[in-house]
Amino acid sequence: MKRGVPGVIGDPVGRFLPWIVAFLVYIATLALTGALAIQAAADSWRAGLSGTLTVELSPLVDESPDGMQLRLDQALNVIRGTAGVRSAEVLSSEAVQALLAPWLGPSLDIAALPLPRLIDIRLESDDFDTLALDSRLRAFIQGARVDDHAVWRDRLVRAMRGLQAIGLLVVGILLATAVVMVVFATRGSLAAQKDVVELLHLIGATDSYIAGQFQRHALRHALVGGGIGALAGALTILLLGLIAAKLEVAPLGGGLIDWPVWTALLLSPVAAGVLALWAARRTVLAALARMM
Amino acid sequence: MIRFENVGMRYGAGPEVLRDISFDLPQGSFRFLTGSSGAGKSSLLRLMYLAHSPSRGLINLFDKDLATLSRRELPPLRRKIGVVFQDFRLLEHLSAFDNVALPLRVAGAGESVIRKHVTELLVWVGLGDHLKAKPATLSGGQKQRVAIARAVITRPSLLLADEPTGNVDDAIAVRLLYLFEELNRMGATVVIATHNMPLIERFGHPVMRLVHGELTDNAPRGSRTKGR
Repeated sequence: MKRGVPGVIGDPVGRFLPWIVAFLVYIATLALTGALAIQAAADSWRAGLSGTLTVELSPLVDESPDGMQLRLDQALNVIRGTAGVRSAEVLSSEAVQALLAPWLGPSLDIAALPLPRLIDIRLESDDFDTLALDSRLRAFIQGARVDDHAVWRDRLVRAMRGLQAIGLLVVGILLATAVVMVVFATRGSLAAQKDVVELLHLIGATDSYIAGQFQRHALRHALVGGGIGALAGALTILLLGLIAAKLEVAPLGGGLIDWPVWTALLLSPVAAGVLALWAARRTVLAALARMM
Repeated sequence: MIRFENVGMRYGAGPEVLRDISFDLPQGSFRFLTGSSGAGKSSLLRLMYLAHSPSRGLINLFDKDLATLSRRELPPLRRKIGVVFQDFRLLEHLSAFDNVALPLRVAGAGESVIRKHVTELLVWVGLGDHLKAKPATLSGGQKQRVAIARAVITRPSLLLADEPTGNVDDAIAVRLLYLFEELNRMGATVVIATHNMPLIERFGHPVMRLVHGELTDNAPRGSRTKGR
């Protein structure tokens, strides 16, 4: 609209639209943030686990500490002599105790328990032949086996992908709801201003001109509502980030405030505006097509 | 300019409100359209200002057969037609100036041109002091003049008026008719629907008479040969 030129179409039924859009954008930004945070966490965990293996030596019946140490040394020799291994370290008793402390308590005496000993292996690359190492260890050292974390990692990734899909589905449903709301608001506005639309039609306004009058309102409402929703979303995400940091949920907390999240927040009012503009235009053009 | 051949019209699935309407209006002609209430005057005007499609027959407007026109071709045609509606149809939230400017804005005219022409026209119809007035603050006669100004601002080739004198006193009615005659002299074809017989007699233009949806009188005759 030109500066100083009043709008031809009034907007009696569209005033509630910004608040509905704000609410939808707010929920959508949270759902999208959740999906992105899950993605970031999955990537982070996957990256953390890639290039590593764990060798597990189960205790044998009536085995002395020296016997276990001997098997550990033999295993280390086999592992360190394998091409593609960067380093191999036996996990210390203190480290094992620290791992188990959350479940079994800090005063646990692990020497009294028949726990397996673990060897942490760092690889030079991901295309390491795990099966060959596993076969060699099983052949030379009794009770040894290689764990490449694949089962645990795959389950975790599948679970996270599921959560991510749910988050994206919610975003999709909210977008569809926003379109439906704009369509209903535009239809209401059209019905309320049937006489104005007919007058414009009769003085020679093109369908595109008339649709432009309505889509201008829809765009303004969606930008305002989207802005409010995105701002509320940003504040909520910051708060969640602080809580996550305090709870030391590092991967999730980090994912909450990554740049994709802020990009999504910045783009959400624009996306809401474009969507509203499109929905309003289609609605008006469809209605006008029924006129002569 | 306008040719109707055996035109019929109905609303939805209802009965025909116009039957076998045939007439020719050459460019620059002036006609009164008369008949009792419900005879079909407004319906015939609706066909002429392209608000409704005929149920049968042929309508030729500005040398174009309406049956062959697409929706995209109608807006330019409508811009050649000025309409004064019986109920004015002014937009209540716009000033007199903006109401009159509407057809020019729809046609994409520049704001400087709009300001000049609209102001001149509103001064000409005696509303120079009411440019910013909203319709709710204007009298019936003033609204009528705003509606007329909006209808003629684009200098239409065809000017249609539905009972334009229905809400004004006789003095203003006569002034409005002089205004229509002036526009007719400038080349516009004018059709005025009215049942104000004294006015018709006074101005003596040819009359088209509708009775129960049929055109019974459509010839310049006797003293009514003033119009072309």
